[in-house]
Amino acid sequence: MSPKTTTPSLHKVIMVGSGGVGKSALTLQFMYDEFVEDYEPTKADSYRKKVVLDGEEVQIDILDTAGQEDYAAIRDNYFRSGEGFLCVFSITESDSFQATQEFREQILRVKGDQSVPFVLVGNKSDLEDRRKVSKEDAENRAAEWGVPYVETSAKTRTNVDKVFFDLMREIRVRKDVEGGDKDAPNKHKKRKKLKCSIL
Amino acid sequence: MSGAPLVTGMSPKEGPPGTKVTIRGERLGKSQSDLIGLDICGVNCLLTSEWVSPNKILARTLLCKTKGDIVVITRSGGVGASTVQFRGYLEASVGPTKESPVWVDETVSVGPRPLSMTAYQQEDPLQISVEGNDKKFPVEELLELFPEGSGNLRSENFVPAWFLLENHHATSFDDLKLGLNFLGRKVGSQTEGKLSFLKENISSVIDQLDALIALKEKCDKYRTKHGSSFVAQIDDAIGVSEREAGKLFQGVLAKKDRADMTRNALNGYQRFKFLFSLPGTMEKSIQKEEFDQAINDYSRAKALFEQPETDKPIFRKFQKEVETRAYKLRETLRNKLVEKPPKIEEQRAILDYLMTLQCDYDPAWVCLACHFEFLTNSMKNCFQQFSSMDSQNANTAKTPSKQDHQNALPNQVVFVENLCELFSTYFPDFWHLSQDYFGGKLPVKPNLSKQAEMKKMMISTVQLFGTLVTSCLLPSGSANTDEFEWQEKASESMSEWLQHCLGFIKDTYTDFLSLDPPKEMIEILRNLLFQIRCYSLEIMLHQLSTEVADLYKQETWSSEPMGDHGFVTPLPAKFETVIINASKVIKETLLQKYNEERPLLNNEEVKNRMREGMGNALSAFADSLELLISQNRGVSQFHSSQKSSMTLPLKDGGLRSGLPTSQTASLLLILNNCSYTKVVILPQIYKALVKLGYPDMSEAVEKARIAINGVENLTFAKYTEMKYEPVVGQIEQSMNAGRFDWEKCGEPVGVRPYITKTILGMIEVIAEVTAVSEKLVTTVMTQVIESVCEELTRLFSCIAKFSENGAMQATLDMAAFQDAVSGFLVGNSINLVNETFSLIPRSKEMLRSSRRIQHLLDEHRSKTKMQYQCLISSNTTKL
Ligand SMILES: Nc1nc2c(ncn2[C@@H]2O[C@H](COP(=O)(O)OP(=O)(O)OP(=O)(O)O)[C@@H](O)[C@H]2O)c(=O)[nH]1
Ligand SMILES: [Mg+2]
Repeated sequence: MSPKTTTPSLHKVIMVGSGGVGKSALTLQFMYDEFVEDYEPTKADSYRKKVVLDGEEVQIDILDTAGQEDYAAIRDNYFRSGEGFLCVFSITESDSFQATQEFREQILRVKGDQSVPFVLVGNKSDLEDRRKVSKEDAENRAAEWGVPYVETSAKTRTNVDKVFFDLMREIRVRKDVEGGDKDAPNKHKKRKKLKCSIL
Repeated sequence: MSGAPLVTGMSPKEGPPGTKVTIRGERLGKSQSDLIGLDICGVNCLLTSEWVSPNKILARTLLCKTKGDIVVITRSGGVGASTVQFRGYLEASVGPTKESPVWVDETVSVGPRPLSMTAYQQEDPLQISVEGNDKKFPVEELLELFPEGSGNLRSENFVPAWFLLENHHATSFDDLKLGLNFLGRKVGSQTEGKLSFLKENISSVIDQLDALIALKEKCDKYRTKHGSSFVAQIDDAIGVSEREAGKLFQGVLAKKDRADMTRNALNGYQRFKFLFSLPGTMEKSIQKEEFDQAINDYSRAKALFEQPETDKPIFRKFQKEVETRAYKLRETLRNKLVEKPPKIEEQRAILDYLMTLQCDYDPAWVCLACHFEFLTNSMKNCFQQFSSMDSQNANTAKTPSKQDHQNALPNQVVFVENLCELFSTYFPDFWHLSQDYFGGKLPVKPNLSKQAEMKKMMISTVQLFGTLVTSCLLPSGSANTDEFEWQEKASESMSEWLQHCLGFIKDTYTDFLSLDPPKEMIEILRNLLFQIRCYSLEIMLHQLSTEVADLYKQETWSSEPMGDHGFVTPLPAKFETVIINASKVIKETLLQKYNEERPLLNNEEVKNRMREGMGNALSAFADSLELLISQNRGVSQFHSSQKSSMTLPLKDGGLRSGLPTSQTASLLLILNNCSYTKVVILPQIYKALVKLGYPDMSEAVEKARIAINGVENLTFAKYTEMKYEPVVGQIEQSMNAGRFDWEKCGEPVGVRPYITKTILGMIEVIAEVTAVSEKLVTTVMTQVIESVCEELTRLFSCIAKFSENGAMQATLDMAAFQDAVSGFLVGNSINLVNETFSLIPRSKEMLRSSRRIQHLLDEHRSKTKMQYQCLISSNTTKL
């Protein structure tokens, strides 16, 4: 934290979605170009690396959260620190699509912001033959929320970079808009927190 | 520092001591040994690390209590950095009775101090009630706000703000102020009251002093007693406790591992549930012959057993169970594979199964061997069954469905039919299977070295077929083994069935050809067919001979004029028809209609045998004609009494049909038939045979001609003998009639009756011969007249003495005779007539001078003018 001036701007992305939809798979594919076949439920994983976003070097911080209900209680805390959300479901599982509704609500409640950067992601698009969630349904929901909808495959890497970069752009735009008093983000935060706690 | 390790990912990012973590990043070392340092939150965790790849390390956290970097140190890259952090925390509930995967620092959590700390904590230093302060401030944010701080009052890095935010963020400012005052008072009382504190507790201070002195004394005593090993003992004790602690730690780790194992086992059980029920389901499938199902299950199980997770005794046990079922399945399939009679489609399926089951032998070969054995044995059995059966039993043993039409068939035919059916049904399967095997069309990898053996099996099968048929149909001795011998051969009746059998074999042969087998095998069947055809040719020719020889039975003696040949009966024409029809049949069945068979007639030996057979058949006609002659004798005796009532045929009419004619007439017809046959029929037959494509049969025709010539001569001799005997025989008798004496007789009054009778007899012969064949008249008459002349010469030479009148009479008689037959007198008969004249004294002068003789002669001539005309005309028409 010491050489603050040279540190590129940091965008905090949070992966949300039901268990087994491929949040970790997307993250690992994005981070390390690898695809993990085995399913190992996540608790909370943290990743951070430098990427070049439209010619600008930035840092992306990815918090891969647990989809499993067992860990639902600790989500609130994590969501608070997120700047953008990739809300993932699996196109092969209707339940996971259903669950995006709850995730969306929880995020809005914690963030208190209707226009928080958010992308609805339909993963496992390589399993077209097992599709359970139609593209129309997903697009309709995205339109209703006013967010983009992208179909990805962590297995084939289709659209993996796209969802992360698209989200980072949204985050950047948001920051620029809010950037009135960008000079002291800490202060800004503190104030916000204070407000929260008082309320 | 591009070579330095960089950690960019942590999974999970927080947890209590003992958490298994996955560290990801770049350049995390080249191997386990390259990894020489791993600090998580400042705690060295190298011991628990497991290097996976330059991008991935697994580790277990140790006693990490704060948030901190993950530092990877490698020999190759040096000290690394991290973009992510790990936060270690202690689970608050860890107590002396609670198991923990890590060594719990009692200085913090257990023992007297924490106890007092909890008491202390309950007692807020600000003495402010925390009631209503239920909304907790998130630890997360505190950590972020005070990354280096702590809310623990006893901690060195205690940050009051943390404490306040954590415990009193809902407390009002006034309350806080009151709390501060309280705290200030408390601190003040502590500092100013040191002396009063001593005063208050003087007794206990003195007690403590005493205790300290006692302790010092004890220590001194101990030191004098045990020397300076005071510390050493402690050292030992520490060592012991360290070991014990290690053991405890190991035990705890082991327990955790066991728990993990149990969980894994349960997961495994869930995953491999199907394996445990597999032996049972396989057993059922096998019993129900649902091999597909069983094999699918087995393959699935096999794939599972190959996974490393299943390398456990329990699985091995089940694998064994499954393998026994698989073994049983293999056995069942093998038994089914060699089931007889083999069913090819089923076998193919079974081969597939067996290959998936990975049997350790070559199932296709077993299958082929089974086919071979089955086919060979069934053919042999078939032979044994029919060959040793006598004809009565044969019918009962036949398949019921065919019984009706087989009832009349001889055993041999039924055998050949059955054998052909066996061969045609099972050989193609055998053949196709072997082709597919070596062509790699079966799921089995072919063993090409077995090709020769296969060929041997094939050939021996075909050979067996040939041998069995040969020994059944052909005369014994033609089969090249005596292993198979047909017990009773009904060879007589067999000949008519031979064609029938040949048909079956030909069909089999055609079927066989369609398999496109190698030349070698075709040759075996071709040979067989060739032999049978040769044999049937012989038999047919033989039959033809018999038939021709029996033709005489069909002679009706009804005759038709046939141009120059005079009257002939239909017998020669029948002969021709029989021969030509038979030749056609032979051609059709044996010489023509071959399907890549060897043409019979290319073989010289066959040609010769054919010529010989045909010669025999043709000359059999001569035998038939000859038989007619001898038979004729019987007929003539029977009819001799009616002889007088016989009407001679008119020149333009036929013999009345159906009526046996006189013996001599039938002899004449035979003669005509002979010459007609020679001149017309035989050349026609010859031509017809050439036209039918037979080889040159001139030899055979010649043989027949010679035979017929023989018969002709015989007939002729017989006929003439028959003719002149009555004529010649009566001469002597009538000459001496009325005790005529040449010495004492009176003057002649006319030609004596013995001469007229003789002439009449001759005319009768001429008439008869002419009616049948004018051509024969001269030949016959020359013979007859010669005999008559001979007789006359003999009789006159016997007369001892002529009187004048006698001589005159004799001269007259002879002159009349000479006159009548002058047209037929040739060579020998002229001499004989002259000799007779010379026997009569003065006959020449008398002929020349005696007016009486001239007168009587003229008288005789005019009287016998008609008869005379007969003799002349028949002679002149001939000439
Ligand atoms: N075919 C296919 N499989 C995928 C894809 N993404 C993930 N998976 C598989 O789905 C399973 C679950 O993937 P994870 O990424 O571990 O799921 P998760 O969303 O992180 O689940 P939690 O951590 O429990 O929330 C794994 O076996 C992956 O291999 C994909 O795009 N296509
Ligand atoms: Mg995950």
